[in-house]
Amino acid sequence: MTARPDDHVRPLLGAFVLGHLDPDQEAAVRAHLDGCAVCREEARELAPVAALLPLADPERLGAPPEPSREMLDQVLSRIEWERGSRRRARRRSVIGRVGAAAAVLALIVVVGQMALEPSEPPQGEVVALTAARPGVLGEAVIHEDPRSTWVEITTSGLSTGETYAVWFEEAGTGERSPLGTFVGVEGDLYISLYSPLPRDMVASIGVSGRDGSTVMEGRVPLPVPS
Amino acid sequence: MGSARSDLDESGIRAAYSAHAGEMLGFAVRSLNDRGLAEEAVQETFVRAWRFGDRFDPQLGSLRGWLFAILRHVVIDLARARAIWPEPASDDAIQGAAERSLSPEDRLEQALLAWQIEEGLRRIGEDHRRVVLETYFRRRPYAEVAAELGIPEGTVKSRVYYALRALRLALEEMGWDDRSS
Repeated sequence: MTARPDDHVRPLLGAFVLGHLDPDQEAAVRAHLDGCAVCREEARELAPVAALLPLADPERLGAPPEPSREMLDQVLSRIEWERGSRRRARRRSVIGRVGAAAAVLALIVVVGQMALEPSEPPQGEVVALTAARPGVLGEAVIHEDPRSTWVEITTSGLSTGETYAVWFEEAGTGERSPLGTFVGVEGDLYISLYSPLPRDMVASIGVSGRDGSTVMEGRVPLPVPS
Repeated sequence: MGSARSDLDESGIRAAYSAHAGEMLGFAVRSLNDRGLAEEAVQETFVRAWRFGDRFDPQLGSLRGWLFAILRHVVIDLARARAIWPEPASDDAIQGAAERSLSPEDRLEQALLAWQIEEGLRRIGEDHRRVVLETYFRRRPYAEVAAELGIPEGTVKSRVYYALRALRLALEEMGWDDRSS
């Protein structure tokens, strides 16, 4: 039984796509590929893999970082907190009732502690979001974490399927620091985002449409020194 | 409203964390170059996964792919907010400069690809990884590698071939698809 040309050429295809063959071998492989659709397809599949290799850092091939048990515990405690927060939100059944004419863009800021249930983490600051058009309602709750600022937004009346961006305006610079994006849905929408921007650098929080126009905004009061 | 979580309740999150958090943390560290921030990104991803668990449809794709899609958004948001972008992997001056000239988002995409290929190289067999490391990354002649390993030069070449095939499979398992890129 004689070996087929494929049997000789195919094992060379790795070195071929890496450009590692000497000129004679490379010419022989090219000549074979001209007449062999199977090997041609094989080379076509390997070429993009070879093209990705320069991106890899061989020094990073050691054991990947291990996630800690504490990470999972924190995820579960956030889930538990959020579950309780939603129960409270349903009880309050309040969303900042705004959305009056844009000319009456009175910024309503409510800072307060809501009724806490025992053993629950402290609630954040509630910021009513003033909408630029009628029918849009929104409220943000801002929490200060050691490493970040965490925001929960409850909103309704936004256009279904539209993408919206949430941002903080930085105190002092007035620059917008993005928190993330979400897509409008029918009915109420609950979003939780976080930003590495420290709480005391946040001047306001807002939501913009795809064209960058502000859909709703709320001014965040300066934190009270403890 | 993403409140129903019939498909990914707390025990589902525990299982998903056990199965995928390691990989996810690897990607986040690779992208953000900051272990603490990477941990936050992974935690945020699992919280969002729980929150929007009802949107996960196993018929449309794997849980792993869905988690990575969320993580990618979280990493982008964090990187944008902190103006952190991955450093080019390549130590080649020209390649590194080319990577630096990319937009921040494109650099993050490159970091994702870099992490995928590094993860792929971790997954393929030791024999295969070794020949790729020696011949490609260390640029050593095949004959020299063959002598060191005590195998024929032709075997080194065929191992390189099977290594790239295995790498392609590993990349595909991670959701990479050259037809869509």
